[in-house]
Amino acid sequence: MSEQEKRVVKLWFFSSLVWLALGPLIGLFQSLQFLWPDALSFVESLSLPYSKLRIFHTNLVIYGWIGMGFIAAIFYIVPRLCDVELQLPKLAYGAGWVWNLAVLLDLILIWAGIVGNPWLSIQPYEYAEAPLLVDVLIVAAAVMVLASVHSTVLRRRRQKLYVSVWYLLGGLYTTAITYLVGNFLVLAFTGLGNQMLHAWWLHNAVGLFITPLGLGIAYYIIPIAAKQPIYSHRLSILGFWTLMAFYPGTGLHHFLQMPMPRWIGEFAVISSVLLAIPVLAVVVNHLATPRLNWPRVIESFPLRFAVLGAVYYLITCIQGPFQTTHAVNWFVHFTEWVQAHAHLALAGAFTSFGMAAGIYLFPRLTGRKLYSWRLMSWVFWLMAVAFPLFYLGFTHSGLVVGISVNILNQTIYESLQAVWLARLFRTLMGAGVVLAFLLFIYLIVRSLTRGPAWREGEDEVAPMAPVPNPRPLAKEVAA
Amino acid sequence: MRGFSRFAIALAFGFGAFAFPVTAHESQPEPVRPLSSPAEASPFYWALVGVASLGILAFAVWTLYGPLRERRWTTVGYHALGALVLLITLFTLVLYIIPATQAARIPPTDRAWDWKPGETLEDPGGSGLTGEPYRGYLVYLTNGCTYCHTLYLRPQDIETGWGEGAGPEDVSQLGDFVNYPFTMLGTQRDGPDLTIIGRKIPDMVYQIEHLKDPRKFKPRSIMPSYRYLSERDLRDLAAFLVSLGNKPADLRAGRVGPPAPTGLSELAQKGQQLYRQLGCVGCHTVDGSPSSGPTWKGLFGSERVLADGTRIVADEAYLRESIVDPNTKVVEGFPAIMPAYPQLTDEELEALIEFIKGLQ
Repeated sequence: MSEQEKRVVKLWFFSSLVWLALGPLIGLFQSLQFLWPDALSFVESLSLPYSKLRIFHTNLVIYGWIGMGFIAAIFYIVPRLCDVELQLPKLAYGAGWVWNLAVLLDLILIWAGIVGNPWLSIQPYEYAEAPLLVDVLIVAAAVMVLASVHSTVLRRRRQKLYVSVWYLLGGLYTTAITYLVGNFLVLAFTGLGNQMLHAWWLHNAVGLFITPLGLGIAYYIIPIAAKQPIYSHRLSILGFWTLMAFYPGTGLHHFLQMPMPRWIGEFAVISSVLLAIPVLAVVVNHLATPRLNWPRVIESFPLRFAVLGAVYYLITCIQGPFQTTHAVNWFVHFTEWVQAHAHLALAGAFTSFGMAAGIYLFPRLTGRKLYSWRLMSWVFWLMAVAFPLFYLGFTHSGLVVGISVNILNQTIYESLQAVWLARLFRTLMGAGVVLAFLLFIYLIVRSLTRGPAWREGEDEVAPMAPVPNPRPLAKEVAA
Repeated sequence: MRGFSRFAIALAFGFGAFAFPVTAHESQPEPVRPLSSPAEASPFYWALVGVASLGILAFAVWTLYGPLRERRWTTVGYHALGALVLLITLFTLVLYIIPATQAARIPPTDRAWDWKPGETLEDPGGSGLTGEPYRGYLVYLTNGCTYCHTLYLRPQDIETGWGEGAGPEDVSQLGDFVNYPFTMLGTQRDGPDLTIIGRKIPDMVYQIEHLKDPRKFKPRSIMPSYRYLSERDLRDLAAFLVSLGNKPADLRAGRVGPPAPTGLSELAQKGQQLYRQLGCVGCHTVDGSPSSGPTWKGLFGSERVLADGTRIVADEAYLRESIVDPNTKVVEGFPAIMPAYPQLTDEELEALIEFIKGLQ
């Protein structure tokens, strides 16, 4: 890996960590606002009410952490699989700064809350709230990324493309289309038509941007860390093409109960249910790959996290088709059940993939191992234990509200009272998850100076004993 | 012939895209049938879905059991990747764009929100405040109100906490949204739906005070305070809220709100002022329409059934007690959420009761 390539990947990866520190922490703060709105109302004096913080939270996680972290991994994986240096590295490096600037500007403009300016005002599309000016910057950065990755693939020395490359390249294409539709084409429509196209980015941001990139990364990390070939090439073909075929139509399942033509909702439901096919194909492929070498799942942290991510991905995507059907949707719609589902996908599955990539990349970027096995284990077990409890608590809050409003016909104040305890549990477990993220960042930042040297072929995390001590003691230096 | 061209186009794009109802008053709210799949699409549509699903199944079987040879497009042909992905995505996009384009042609209902940029609305509460509902909608957008409040009512929301005060005729229809420059119908409800908020509380002063300090009127509310907004933003946002659920024509003609103060005694006028200032308007209507609390129209002298089943006549003493210590005698069917007002003077209490007496 050349120094220039390292510079690019480092910029994207370490920027993503900054946003990872911030985004989930804001989410935790928001969950406290549900519990003690009065005690925390000082933020409103800073013109940051819950509603704006929510935009901060979602945008930071999607564009800051997941977006930048995944693109960092792409810049590492694609050249390796194509057996060629990353092309146009300077462009890719510049794109990193443009993207960071876009995320920062997004926060500033949302905070400023300018009313009625076509370039600087928040846009009314969920997860695409970024003002038009920010959209333009993101598009510019994405075009630069695409140019760099694409020319790398074109100049490859290996004839065949690996599964990972289909996903990463295909994912970048669908990201481009989805982003343009969800942020620009949608502006051409008014009234309900506007709402229909709104659905495009609302769900496809997850499906056509984050999913293919995350799966592409897992398709790289799992076989290479398990030292096993992919379980089935056929399954990967099936998974890839069915994902690409079914995902674009699913967005409108968020709007099933709106006054809208029924058929398009039905189309979304059918697409969503069919998504079970790519999900099962991909997850079987992921989980069956290390089957001849299970001890590696314990030994290798990237593999551990990728397998954890695959398990969360399976749960999310079995829940997804289930909850889009009318029989379930009428009950859970508008409640925190849906947010819990979104957290299972982004904070569970894709963050685990992102962490797996981060752990795998770190030694290859810096030449150092992650210094503490124990701390890494803490991060893993928090993600494996606190996260499911957080998810269940979140889902439980949704169910309580659903029962209270839909079945018991209670008023909003009664349902608020009923859900308080469930929300407290959610907050406590959520704090564990945020702690996992912060420990992960701490571990990486500390390892920059404390990590023992890493050599090609070694694992990424320093083993428990002997206690690593890379710096010579003062006595030894003096001697 | 028209049927045939429809058939051909529908065949080209798949999926009954032309079954779009372009009528204004088509929708009587349908009964809620949560456990049955609403299958209104034509048999043709389901046939297409069947064909598509079978095709995909066949593809799945083929990839799993078919011969996997070198130089087949599934094996090595991923050079065409970009083009194919583009094609699939654009195909689906077309499916979205067809109805989105048609949506603009739906005739608006007479209650459809219809406020132009720059147009102002005078407070129907009688305070003399004015605000621009259109700009208020932009303020609503800028401050993220849509992340807790929705702007559409489903049939199943009627008589739930989310759609308090709404009746079956309030269920949202396609034509209600035609005039919005963009829509924020919402996907999450941490607070109530706002479709008819302006009919329930047609009072800008209350709306502004509630935005600044929601728990002053609704002690258990978790809504954040919007005190950081400028005066103008607050006025416009309040105007937008008042414009929701009222026919634009009625608002423009001043046909919304409590009775004009002329014809009221001096004491009752003072009561009407208090009705607004204290925020009674937040839960009690004066025109008989439902809201969070009982309406005041025809309240005085009527027989009330309490939560424990006892019956009581709403006389002066009862009203006085209910204001000072509201949760001792709660009327059946309403939650005990009213804040107490022990700080009111006797004169103020009398003024309020006089105002209630006048609402027959």
